[in-house]
Amino acid sequence: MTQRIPRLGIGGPVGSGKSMLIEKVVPVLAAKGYSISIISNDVISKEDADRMRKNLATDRGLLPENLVIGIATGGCPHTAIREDPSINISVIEEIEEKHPELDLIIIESGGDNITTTFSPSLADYVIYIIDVAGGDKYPRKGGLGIESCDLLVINKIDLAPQVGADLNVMQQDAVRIRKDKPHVFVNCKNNTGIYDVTEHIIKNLLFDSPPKIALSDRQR
Amino acid sequence: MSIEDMHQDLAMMQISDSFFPTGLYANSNGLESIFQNNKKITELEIIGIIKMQLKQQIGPMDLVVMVNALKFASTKEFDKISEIDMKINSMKNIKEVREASKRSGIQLARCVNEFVNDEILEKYLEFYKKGMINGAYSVSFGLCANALGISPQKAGLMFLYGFIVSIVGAASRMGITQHYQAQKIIHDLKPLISQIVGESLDKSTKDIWQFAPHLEILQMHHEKMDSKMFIT
Amino acid sequence: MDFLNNKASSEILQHNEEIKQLGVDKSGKTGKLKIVLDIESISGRTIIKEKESVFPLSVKKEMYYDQFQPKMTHVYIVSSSGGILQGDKYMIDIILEKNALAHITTQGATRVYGMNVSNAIQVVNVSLDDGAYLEFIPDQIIPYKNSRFYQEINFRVHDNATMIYSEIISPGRIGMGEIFDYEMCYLRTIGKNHKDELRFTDYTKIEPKKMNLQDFGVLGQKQIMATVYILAKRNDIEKIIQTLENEIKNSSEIEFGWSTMTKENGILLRILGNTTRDVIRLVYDITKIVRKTILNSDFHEIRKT
Repeated sequence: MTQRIPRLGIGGPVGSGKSMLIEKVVPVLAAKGYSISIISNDVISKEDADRMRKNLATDRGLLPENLVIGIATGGCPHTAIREDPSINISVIEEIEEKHPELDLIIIESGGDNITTTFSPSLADYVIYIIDVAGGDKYPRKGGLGIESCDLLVINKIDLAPQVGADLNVMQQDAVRIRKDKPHVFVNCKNNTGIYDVTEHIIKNLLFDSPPKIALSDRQR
Repeated sequence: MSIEDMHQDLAMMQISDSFFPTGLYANSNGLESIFQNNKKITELEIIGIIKMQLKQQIGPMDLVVMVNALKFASTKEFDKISEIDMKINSMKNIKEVREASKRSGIQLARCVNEFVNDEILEKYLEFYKKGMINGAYSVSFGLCANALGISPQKAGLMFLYGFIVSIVGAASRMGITQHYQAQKIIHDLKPLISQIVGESLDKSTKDIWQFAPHLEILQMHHEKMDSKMFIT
Repeated sequence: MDFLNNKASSEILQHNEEIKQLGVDKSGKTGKLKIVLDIESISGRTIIKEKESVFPLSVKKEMYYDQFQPKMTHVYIVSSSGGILQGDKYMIDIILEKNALAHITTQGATRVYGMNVSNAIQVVNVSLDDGAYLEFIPDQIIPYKNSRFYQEINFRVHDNATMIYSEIISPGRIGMGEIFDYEMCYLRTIGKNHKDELRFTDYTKIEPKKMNLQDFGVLGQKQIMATVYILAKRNDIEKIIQTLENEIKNSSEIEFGWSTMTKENGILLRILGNTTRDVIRLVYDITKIVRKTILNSDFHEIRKT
């Protein structure tokens, strides 16, 4: 019987920085010894998967090339992670079968704040990412994505002055709408907040468990 | 109508519903590849493509496999199920299509197995786990239909209906057809579906064939496309 | 119907029933050919070690004219009756022993003559042992007006052997104005490994009078169809694919595609063309890639006349 590998869902509108977040978070986790596979549910193409494969797998050797997988969703990424996650689950089960040594599977999908939730059978922990350029009213508007996720990531905080977004407003609204659930302000460009995001993942999804294969063993 | 008949019809609706999680919505069955080469596909051409596929590939191959898998399940001939699963898998010449069929097939079987107790379906999933079954969609479909007490004829109608909905749905999501047109296409295909199902119910596994080389070539090109919205 | 092991489709069986009833079976011939190819210990060349043939099938004496592969045998299958007639049954067995190296072709096209009832049947069994290499490139099948042809090819190819096989189907005697005037051409090609595990199954049925062959998706605008099957070790297949991607391109004259077989240890290429010449040229180009990858030597087109 294959064991379920912890699954992290990352959702967010197109351009909010999902892939960038993954490209920042994965090296930090990899440095701690965690082995990761990434599945990208892209609306249009394998482009994201291919770029990640290049950035994380081929160039930096952080994860094997075949563990960055693109899934075509027939133009329905929200369906593919919510009411019919069968393709994603099928792919994940194949990974679990072939690579039981993995510590984490990341499932990325584009989707707006109104519709994006992950089926509980697909993801164990969900990050929803938005950016300040959407305006400081974004968190207040709520929606499934913002309300139901385990961790809300607010990206591109460096742009706040340029777009006239008030981070305090966003902070207050996020706390109010999400009750006690956490959020993190992030700037993927200079790594602000990335450490906090990885800590949330390690603590609340991996429950502080060490990597299955210790870093020292792997490098041999 | 007896209670059993009503149950059968409800099961048929459940499996045919696009809400049923088999991932078929992510398949265009070659349409995306055709659309890439020719952005001006008309409604008539869509109908032509679907008819051709029904007559030359899905009808004589997948449907006959499905109906026979259903019959083998009803007579509990597991060896024959296993044999036909191997055969249909090796007849899917295009890797992308073959893999998609297996993924949808296994998810379908697992989902039905969650709410129906059926010895054959259970054994099928057990053998899949051991790597002794491929889980081809048409075989899984036949087994599930049998487990739910659906007759071969109704299963055949559902099977072809599901197939055309996935293509027409893809056409609609690619912006080729609008929603009224899509339903009209489905309506216009009803006579052909009935005819093909009627002709296929008594065919044995010895009668399987396909002949759609041009479509296969287009599907092979789809497999190598850099950017795609659909799995097939 | 022991000839077909009772595996044939009902359509084929039905027509053979007719042969019995009408007593026209007498006109049919049963041609047989069996060849066993093995390496001769002294010269290291592959030779025809065993041969059995029943009229009208035979083989020419093996030849060795490829300077790049002096040990590779070239075998020509000959049918002296000029074509396959109603009720004819041909059975061909080709066996390559360990490490044998061969190129097999036919002396001309397989001509299937028109018939009122019954079929012409050809069954070919090919087996390759460990390390063997076979290029099996017969000339095209030409189904004449009103002909019915059934062919079954069974490959049993060792996982460590290499084989390329091609099948070209022409629309008929084009020169006589016969284009898709035949009744049926039914081809079954099955590939298994030495443990009898399926590698591919390809069942093609063409009934020009019942199908709209020129429809989009069937043949489209083209008339000639060919299929090339390549069976080899997985890493050899990867290399062949790389070269295929780089060297062979679709054009307006010829459309083709390929995909890998179930265990990634084979490739199936589907080809559509306007002329037999274009298609044969592509088949040779592909053969060249396979030979270069596996044997690291060049392949030259074969002159048959």
